[in-house]
Amino acid sequence: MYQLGIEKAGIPTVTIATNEFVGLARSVMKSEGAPDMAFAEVQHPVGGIKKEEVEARAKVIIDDVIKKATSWKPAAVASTAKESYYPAKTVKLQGTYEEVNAFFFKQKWTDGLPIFPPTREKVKEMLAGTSAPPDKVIMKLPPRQGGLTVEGIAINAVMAGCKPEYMPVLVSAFETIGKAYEKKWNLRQTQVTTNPVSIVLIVSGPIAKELGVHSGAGLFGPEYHANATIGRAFQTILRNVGGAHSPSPNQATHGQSGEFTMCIAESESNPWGTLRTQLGFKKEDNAVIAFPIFQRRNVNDHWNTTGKGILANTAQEMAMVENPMLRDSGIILLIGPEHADTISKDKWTLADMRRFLYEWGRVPLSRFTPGGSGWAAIPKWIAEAPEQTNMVPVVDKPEDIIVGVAGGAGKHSVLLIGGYAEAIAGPINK
Amino acid sequence: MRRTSIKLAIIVLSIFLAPLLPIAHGQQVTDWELLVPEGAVIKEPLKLAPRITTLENKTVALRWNGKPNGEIMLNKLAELLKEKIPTVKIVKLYEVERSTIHTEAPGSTAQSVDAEAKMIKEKYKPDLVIGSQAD
Repeated sequence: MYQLGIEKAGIPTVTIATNEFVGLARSVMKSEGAPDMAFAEVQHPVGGIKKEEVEARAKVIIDDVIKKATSWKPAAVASTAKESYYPAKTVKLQGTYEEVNAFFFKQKWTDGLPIFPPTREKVKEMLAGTSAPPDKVIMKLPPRQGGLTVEGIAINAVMAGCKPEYMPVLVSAFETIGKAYEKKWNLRQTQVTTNPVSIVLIVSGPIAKELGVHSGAGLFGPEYHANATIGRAFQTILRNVGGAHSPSPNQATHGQSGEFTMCIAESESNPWGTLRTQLGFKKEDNAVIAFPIFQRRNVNDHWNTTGKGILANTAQEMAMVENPMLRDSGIILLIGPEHADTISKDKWTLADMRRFLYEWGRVPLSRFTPGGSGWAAIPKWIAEAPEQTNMVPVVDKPEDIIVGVAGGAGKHSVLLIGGYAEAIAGPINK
Repeated sequence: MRRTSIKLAIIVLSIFLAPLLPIAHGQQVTDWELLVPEGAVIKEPLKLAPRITTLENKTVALRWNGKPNGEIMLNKLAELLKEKIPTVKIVKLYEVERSTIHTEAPGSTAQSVDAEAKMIKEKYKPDLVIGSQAD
């Protein structure tokens, strides 16, 4: 993106990318409207190898760099400016249901599992679940910058097996993300990073029960139709419209299963309010929360009988998963009902819990290398402290820890470890 | 005669009963018209900058994205460029303008990208920018 900015300013560029990442670079280039760019490919990797090896790679590519700088010319490409986002294009096929699935899989329009074919009739039925007009453009999804319409949401929702009444959650999720993306919410990075990041959707409010979005036992697992299909539709849209396909431009080294589906509800039985009230909504509102997470970290505590003990254990788990990205995003703690019962009986307030976790969830400063990538994320007041054994909090401030209740019987809670962007919430409008 | 009548009856009965036999849904060949799930990409092609044809007496700026060893790569390329083209002038942005060291950092928008490009153009007047990307 920055190299394209240079080109727009009238200065030619040559961009060096490793052969494993040039696909991502070209994808970004296309999404920004560039017909072509001068790339000099170098053998992957460049990071994590010795200096002599890096320099040897430079010697291999120098002539290509000079050639790209002085002899390269961009290819011409036709303008797409006369196309429209609505109605969606169609494809005609003759075949069996299996052959339709094989075709969609070949186009990279599926997650590898069977889909429901998005016929006009099925999409029309799906659109009846929302009052939003089908031609409304919700946002352009990175990195591909595909235009996402309400119709487009319905098409992917049909494929994922959603019921029409789930549509308001999906429309609201992308409206919320679209507005946040305009204000620099880092959706792009979650779509293309090598890190195993996936966005969790949390449905909050009376609508969760109406739609059957599950907040109890096994809420992250299978067998709950609303959880499974809303999450699946959401992830399918991120890939199909946003273009975040593996292995490029979605460069996730390992990926995570949340990229299949990750949609839950939070429990309304929360002694400290709910996630949505902590994010600015009222108790009677319906909201959808979107939060990019690296992982879910289990807090297994079968032995503490006090709130402090459980929270100390939780803080220790936070410290285990510390990484610099946390400071851009924060944590959602979903306390299991049995832990919530113990902690609330000991009269812990929300503010006290956050402060405790902030103070106790720390790692030693000596873990960080001055000048290394994690160092830049350390709060200045700690980095400049004379004592190198200072303990660094894993989040910037206590309010970066948001507390909800979810789950079933059993002495567990779960930390949702954020990455690249903070949790955002938007209203669910039918 | 009787055998022939029985055979004929079986054939006629089969013709009438065949449509009622369960057919696996998946095996039925159908004409489908399906909506494409991708969404259109609409963009006027970006016009790239005019190209240069020589590096003799040109200013080349090197931009590092902050990923490990990227600066080592660029330092070596700078050295090799000077060996091959002694009149080229090298500007290492990552040394003189450290704010240019970043990937797709949180907060990068079209406005901040354009602003940085404008700053580089006005302050360093490069004829070419070589950038290192990715891991």
